[in-house]
Amino acid sequence: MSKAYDATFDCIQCGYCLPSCPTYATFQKETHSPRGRIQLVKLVHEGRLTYENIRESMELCLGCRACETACPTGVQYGVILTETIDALTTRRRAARTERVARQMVFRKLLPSAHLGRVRPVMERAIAARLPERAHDFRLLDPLPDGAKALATVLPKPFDTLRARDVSRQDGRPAYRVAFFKGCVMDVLFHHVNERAVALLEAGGCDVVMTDEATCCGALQRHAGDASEAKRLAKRNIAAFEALDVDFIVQAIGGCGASLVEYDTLFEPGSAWHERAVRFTKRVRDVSEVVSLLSIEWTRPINRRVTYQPSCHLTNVQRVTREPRALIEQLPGVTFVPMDGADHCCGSAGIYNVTQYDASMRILDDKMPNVLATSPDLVVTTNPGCHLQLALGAKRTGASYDVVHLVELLAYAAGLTDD
Amino acid sequence: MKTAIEALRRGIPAQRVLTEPADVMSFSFDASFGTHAPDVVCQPLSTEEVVHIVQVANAYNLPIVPRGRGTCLSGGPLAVHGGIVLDFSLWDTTLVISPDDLTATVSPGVLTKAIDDAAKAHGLMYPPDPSSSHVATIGGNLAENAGGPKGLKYGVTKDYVLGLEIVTADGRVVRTGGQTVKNVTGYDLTKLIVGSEGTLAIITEATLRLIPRPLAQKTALVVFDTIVDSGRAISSVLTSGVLPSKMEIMDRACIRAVEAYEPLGLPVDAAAILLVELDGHPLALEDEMKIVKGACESVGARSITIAQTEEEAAELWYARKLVSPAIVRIKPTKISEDATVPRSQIPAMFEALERIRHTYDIELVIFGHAGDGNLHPNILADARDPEEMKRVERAVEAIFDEALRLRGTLSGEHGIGTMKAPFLANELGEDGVWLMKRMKEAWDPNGLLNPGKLFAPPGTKLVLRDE
Repeated sequence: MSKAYDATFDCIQCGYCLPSCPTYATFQKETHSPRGRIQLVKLVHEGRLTYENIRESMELCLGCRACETACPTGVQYGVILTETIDALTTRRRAARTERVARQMVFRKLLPSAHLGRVRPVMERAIAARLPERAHDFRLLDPLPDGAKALATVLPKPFDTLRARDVSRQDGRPAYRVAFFKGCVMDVLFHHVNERAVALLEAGGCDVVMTDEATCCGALQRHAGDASEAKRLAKRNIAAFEALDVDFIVQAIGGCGASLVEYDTLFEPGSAWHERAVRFTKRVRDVSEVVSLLSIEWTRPINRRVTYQPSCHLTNVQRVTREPRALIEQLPGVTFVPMDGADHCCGSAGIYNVTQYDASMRILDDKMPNVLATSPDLVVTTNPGCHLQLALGAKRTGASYDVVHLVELLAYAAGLTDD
Repeated sequence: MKTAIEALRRGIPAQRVLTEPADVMSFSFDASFGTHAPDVVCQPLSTEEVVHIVQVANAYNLPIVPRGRGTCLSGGPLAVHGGIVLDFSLWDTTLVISPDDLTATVSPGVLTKAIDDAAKAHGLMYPPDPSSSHVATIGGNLAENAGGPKGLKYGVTKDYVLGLEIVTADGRVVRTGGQTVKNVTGYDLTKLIVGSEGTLAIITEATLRLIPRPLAQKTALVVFDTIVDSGRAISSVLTSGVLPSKMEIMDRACIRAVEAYEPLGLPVDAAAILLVELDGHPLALEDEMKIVKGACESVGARSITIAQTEEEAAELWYARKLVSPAIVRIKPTKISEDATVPRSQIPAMFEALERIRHTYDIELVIFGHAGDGNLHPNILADARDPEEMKRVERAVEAIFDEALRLRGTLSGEHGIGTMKAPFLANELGEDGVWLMKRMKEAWDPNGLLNPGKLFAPPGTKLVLRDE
């Protein structure tokens, strides 16, 4: 029996998910709503539609999972989506070049330990404004539109951290935590990881890392490569089991969501399922742990700040209170909540590369709400949202800066100067 | 069909005329039962476009099925004979509040809650509050004459409609009623159209009545050891001189389901709890709540908890909010009934439902708007179990029989649609149905407007299974 088909029976078709769905709002038909998609999947399993019939509807789903938060009956939409995307991927006769490219990226590049070596090269390239200049010389032309657009808003390299006073770690640590770096995150947003670790240490945590850890497997899973996602999950579970820690902490909404759902990759009752459950119970977003610590916020922000939550932090990790509470307690912050903050910005993993036009329509629908807050700073908790909102500023000519929550916190704690 | 679709596209942009299999299947259902794909979905944005669609439907003899956001619990927007689904959800362009007239003028796709939110900005209120009001459109609410908890004090949708713009089955645009509260010019077509489930005409605009918004609310939770006590308490409160804005009941099965889902400290040994909300001036509410408390105590309520702050009130209502997620943990398929009885018959209806629960061996919980006799017996089943679903079908019939025996009605607020059509004559009698059919024939001689609703062919039975 298909888990997805089974899950469709939990839907009572009340439609309470409709207002939460960004694709329903933007594409304006039931076909692009959660309730519509659930019904379509059910009809495929009952032989009344084919997978090809529903491909567009399913592939345009952002996977933001806001519908799960809105659902009054707890439909496991994630299960329905993931299994259906797997089935669609199996059935798709992808062009050979695309297959090879996916294979390279998902199975070789992202999980590779060598990815870290790319970082210094990238940083130098960005510092030399290569992405923008590459544009001028049409070097980026072979890339999809989404990748080209994103290349123009990559974060500038940051100075490394100031020397930290590590004496606070003397005596008993507040918590012993393992830090999960992620793969792409650690290349493009290495400075965010650094600042997250610095914050945890400033709050008295003993922070450990492991080279055995690898990519979380989120992109592979969303793209329909379940077996690779499972392989990576096993490696991470084993890697962190070996460390005796209170929490496994990460600063990436999307990766965190992938980690907290590791148990769903394995059959209940199996040994791996049990190990996965133990793992997921210790996974925390960095904001949850920082909220438990006492850190002195010494430096005033003096800016108008709004917050764009990561969908996967909100709807999968279900962390909503802590990030906002942290922002609001910083000195000098004028916090302006954003209408429709819970609506996905359209970044959604690699959606803004694979579905560039759809992604820009969703972003364009979001931007009036962002601009209505007249922000100096937009705070995010995920690198995808970060780049997308930077792109939003570029598309609308707005002048706000985008920062990850830990960048803001690290600055307020006096750990950095920028 | 191909030429009909080409004809539709001559009056409506092609991107709002949907024919792909995934599209028509996405408009094949509502929140009740059955999957019925239309041949085509049109998403009109103006009266002219609706007139064009009606003309094409007449030329090609195609059924027309108006649909809001598909939250209907009785099958109203199901295209049981195919044809054209008119999806009004995009047409939310008009929402004009006239504070000096105390009216709102709205296009059919405006969300019901959006009307109340807009009214709030002027110190006004649009009272009808079906629980789906943040999702459902006013067009659907008008077609079904939707109710809600506040019906007890404020009445239902039809009590707030001053005038309509409608498109008739032959494509005429007619305005009924007007902009005034008092209006006795001619037959009251407005009230006839409201609740006619899209079978007489298509609503393209409405002028709604607004009222001053109460300044404050106050909530109490009352616990009862017997159902009979809770029934007496309802009558006792309603004859005490205080009219609550809401009186919601939860039975023992419901209380236990909520406690099992999320422990809130509800009394699992109680027979029922009643949530009472008063609204009005804050000073008056203090006194009125004392009267309510006395009225409940005089008939043997076990306890009464009065919320002192808005947060405490929200906590009390939270239990009611958890009913839906809690009861679907029992079994996933939810059959929501709304048979309604005179208020004095509430205890008798509870007894009858208890018998039905045992006779048909079904999971049944009761909650709903006790103050106006509009109970919501909900049956929990599993659609994948055909044997169980057959028992459910018979139990639903038994619920209808009992409601009518107690001088009640088949439906308080969900509508007849396909779900209750087989039982219409049981309540109205053959002559009553005949008179309604005469109305239908006068308005829609070719039977194009939402066919298959209200009136079922002889011998039709309630079927909750996909056959």
